Amino acid sequence: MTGPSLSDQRIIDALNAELSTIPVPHRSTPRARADNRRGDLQPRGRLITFKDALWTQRVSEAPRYNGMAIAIPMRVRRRSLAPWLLVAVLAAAVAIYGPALARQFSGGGTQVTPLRPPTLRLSLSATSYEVGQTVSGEITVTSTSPSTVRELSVSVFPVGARQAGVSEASVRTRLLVIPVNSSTVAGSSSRYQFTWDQHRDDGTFASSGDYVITALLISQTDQGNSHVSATGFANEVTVSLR
Amino acid sequence: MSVIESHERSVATALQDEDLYKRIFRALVAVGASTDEASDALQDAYEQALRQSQPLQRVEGWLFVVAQRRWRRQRIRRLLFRPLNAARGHVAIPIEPGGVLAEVRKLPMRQRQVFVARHVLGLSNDETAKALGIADGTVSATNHHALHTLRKLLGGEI
Repeated sequence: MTGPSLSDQRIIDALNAELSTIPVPHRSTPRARADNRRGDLQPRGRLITFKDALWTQRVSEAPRYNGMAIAIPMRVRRRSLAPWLLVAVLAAAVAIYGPALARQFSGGGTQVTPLRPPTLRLSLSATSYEVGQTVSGEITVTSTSPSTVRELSVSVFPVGARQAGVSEASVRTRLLVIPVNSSTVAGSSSRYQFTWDQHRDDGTFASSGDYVITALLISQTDQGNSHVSATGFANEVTVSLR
Repeated sequence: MSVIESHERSVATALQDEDLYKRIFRALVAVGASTDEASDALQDAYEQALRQSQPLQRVEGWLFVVAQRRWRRQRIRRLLFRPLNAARGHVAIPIEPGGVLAEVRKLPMRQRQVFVARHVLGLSNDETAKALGIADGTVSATNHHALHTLRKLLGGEI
């Protein structure tokens, strides 16, 4: 193996020359002595030779290796408050911001109570109509919590289709939407009249038979930044068309 | 001579060797430590050497590596607590800008370690490889890279 080239050797020499100008503290160190004079002592395991150990307080207790005393005690370090300050700052931050963060991560800034849908009661003015006659009735909405009624609709489903096992979702297309956009307070009742003018509508009751009529309501409440919707169903009323 | 006696003798000899102390101290400074940090880390390494139950082979390399590890751990702690430690005194090393020491400190850590172990501490290729736990070839290559980089950085200044 070849040694470093000439220019490499000059770099190494220059580095060593530069390093040799840096004073090397003695192992028993003036710094330690100065700290000792301040009386701020804390045993920490600085190793010093027997000669150096003369200034230590417990030379007799120092362990020895081959006759050389290895004094462990007098390296001095000021106790730093920094870790405790950091812990205190962190604890304060957790105490202040912890609950808010917990709320943030548990979903939503404010507690949302579940919205109970209003109760609906459907009543028809008659349970038997002639084909082509106007079907009319009334829906009573009783709110159990403050909310806004967004949509109220009445649907009609032929009983024959239900008995034949036809899915209501596929047939219940005849909807009468009642335009409602009113706020309600808890415990209040509202009445909505509806009429089903068969001359104007597209033959909902085109043929005679039994029909089931029910109403559906969608209400909404605003709580903080959350919008909670609830759906309520009215009782079913059967109407016969002759 | 028993293994333990041999260990004690090698550590004790190392402890009494003022020149070795200076060399490792300077090596730590060259790697990047301040004088305070180097002094603390080296004392910790000596202490740890005495606590070893297994005999130490190649005490110089062992002390250098352990002291360096201590220094890096201390440095991380100092960085963490820097805002709170700002008021405390700190002895800065007068480093000549553009000097070799300043350029050595710009090398990547692995190159710095190898270069310093080889040329400041005076370890052989083999001793450096064993101390740092890397292959002989890696030491040669890393040392070569470090010298090449230093030549480029220093230009014709040396």
